[in-house]
Amino acid sequence: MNALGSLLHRPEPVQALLAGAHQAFSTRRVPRERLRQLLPGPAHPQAGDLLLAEVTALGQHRNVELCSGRKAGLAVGDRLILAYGNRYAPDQFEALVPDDLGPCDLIAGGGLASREVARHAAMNAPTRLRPLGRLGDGQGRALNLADFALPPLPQPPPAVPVWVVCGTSMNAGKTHTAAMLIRGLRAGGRRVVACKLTGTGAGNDLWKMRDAGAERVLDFADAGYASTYRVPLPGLIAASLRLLDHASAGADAVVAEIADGLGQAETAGLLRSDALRRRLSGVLFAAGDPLGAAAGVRWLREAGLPVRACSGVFTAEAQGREEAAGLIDLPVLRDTELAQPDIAQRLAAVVAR
Amino acid sequence: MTAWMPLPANLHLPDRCHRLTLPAEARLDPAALPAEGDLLVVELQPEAAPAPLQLASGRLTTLYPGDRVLALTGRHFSSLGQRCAVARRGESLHLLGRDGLVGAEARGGGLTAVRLLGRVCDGQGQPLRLPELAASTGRAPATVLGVVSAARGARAGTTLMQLLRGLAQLGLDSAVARPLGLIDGGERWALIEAGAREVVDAADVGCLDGEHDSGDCLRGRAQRQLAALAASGAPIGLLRLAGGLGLPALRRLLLEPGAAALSQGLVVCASDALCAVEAVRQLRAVGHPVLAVSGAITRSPLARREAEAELDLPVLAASELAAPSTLSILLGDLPEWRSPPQRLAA
Repeated sequence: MNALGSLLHRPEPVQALLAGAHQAFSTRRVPRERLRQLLPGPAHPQAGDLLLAEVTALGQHRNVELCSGRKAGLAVGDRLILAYGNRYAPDQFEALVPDDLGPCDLIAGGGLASREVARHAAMNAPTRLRPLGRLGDGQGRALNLADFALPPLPQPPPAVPVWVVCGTSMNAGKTHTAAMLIRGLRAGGRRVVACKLTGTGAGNDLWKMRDAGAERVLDFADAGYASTYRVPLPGLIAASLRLLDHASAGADAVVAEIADGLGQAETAGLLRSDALRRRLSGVLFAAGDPLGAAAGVRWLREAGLPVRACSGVFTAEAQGREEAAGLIDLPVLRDTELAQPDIAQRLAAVVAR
Repeated sequence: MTAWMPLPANLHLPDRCHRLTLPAEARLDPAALPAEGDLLVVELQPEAAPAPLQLASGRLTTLYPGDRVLALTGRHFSSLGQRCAVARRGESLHLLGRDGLVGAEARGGGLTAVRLLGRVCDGQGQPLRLPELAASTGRAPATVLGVVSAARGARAGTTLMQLLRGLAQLGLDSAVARPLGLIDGGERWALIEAGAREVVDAADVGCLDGEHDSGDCLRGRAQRQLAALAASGAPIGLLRLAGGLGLPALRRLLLEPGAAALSQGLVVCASDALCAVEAVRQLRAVGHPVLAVSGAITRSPLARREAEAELDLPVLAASELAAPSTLSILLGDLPEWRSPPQRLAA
């Protein structure tokens, strides 16, 4: 870089720019005082890198979720503290971290900056961003969510029942299933901690699980990831186990949600891993329709997982429950049944095949 | 002695009765106990909200309290969750949807409260029925394709509509049959406008509800419908196989041995990859040739990619499926179309 280039790209103190900037939920583990410099580039951003960006055009996401959970309305010119991340959301967007600090997209309301690759037909174009630079520490080093991850526990906590909820696809009712299971476990007198092992950094699902009675909620952001799309499997497994360790500490039961459907690479890889399988007490499968429920149960059994029941959006209708009962040799539970105090005993009584 | 009454002068005829010509001597038996398949005259209750009704003429009208409608009664179960039993005197009755179907114990959306005025009879005092398709032993159209919903909400209707349009662009006449369930008036007209030469549904073969019928019975009715499509002169018959493969009646129709003879190929519509893969697996297990996957899944590039990774089939949006170039390839894969291929090129 020549002298002029060094001048143009030298780190800038960031306080003035950060004043009034919205800090997105995906960056909630980052204390604001750690953000000391703006690193304008050129740069090759990595997933998890923190950035300051300005909204240049409003699109699909017209709000950004703050660390508090409040959704702040956006306007052109607003400055946002975000994290770069890849997104895999079949009902919304696919997006990849760009190779440069050029214009990109607000690809998730939880505060993910990325560049759109594809979108569901029901989506509008994403909200557009102009990155002002990555955010660095006092030494000019780019900060990444991984710098703020929970550390490994010095020793494994005592084993507690771990219930995993996975499903056919996005919007199959996984989070609702998890939340109602949490209600049931709570009603049965258990201290429940919830976590989301994969997905995209956003508060919606975590807040739902918290509102259902989970004493604590964790997700992959607590393990240093803005999202889990394209995270290599060993790292994802390690992060998941770390989250389960932290969740288990002080809990009587853990409810863990795995995002997207069984056709998603990270979801499938994680569910097929021996390390995760050894930690599970049982799997609840949330499906969008009865046939998907039957397919999911078969898939999980072939993967050697102890699937104990089905639920999901199809159970909202009597017809869906009746159809599924004819296809599946497992309990088909609607949300109100999951919320009963005896749910743990009911699930434990199901013989896993 | 029956106290006959004349039919009300301002009677609305719903689309459900589009094949019916009311005889001049038709009259009303106000005391009759309705039975499955009867045509009844009902009147909207004073508390009923204004309700749409698709008329046999094709016009959509709005019914108000006091309006009178000719309606078909029977045990009905729809893939959208509407259901009712045969209308009974003295019981709370409802019109279902906008298609002139009336029943007791009605459940589901779009219900309109009505009261029974009587059963419609012919000049000899016999209950008047909707005309049924002949118990034909005729042949099906030369080519029969099915559009199967793997699950409700899979947008199979959109796919079927696009297929019709694509075939019309190729200059090929086609017609539509729905062996299970009813095609309401709005959809019937949409299918006709998309190019269907004939549209028949389960009511045309005397069945409002295949919920408890055997697979053989359902397939027999489907063959009757296909013969009617062939009689209309359409060389291509399209089967609308709606309700989702979780629906027991659809499973009996499609997933029993011998069911593959119904069509030369199926297009599976699904809303997610897992469901698509499972549907294809189950249909192939009984010998159905599956030509492509389509439907709501194709609105999501990621879901589409997931399905493509698992299946050795094209996953095509309805518009892609109906493109003349794609249709030519799909139809070209069917034995009936391999010779002579010029037919498609034309």
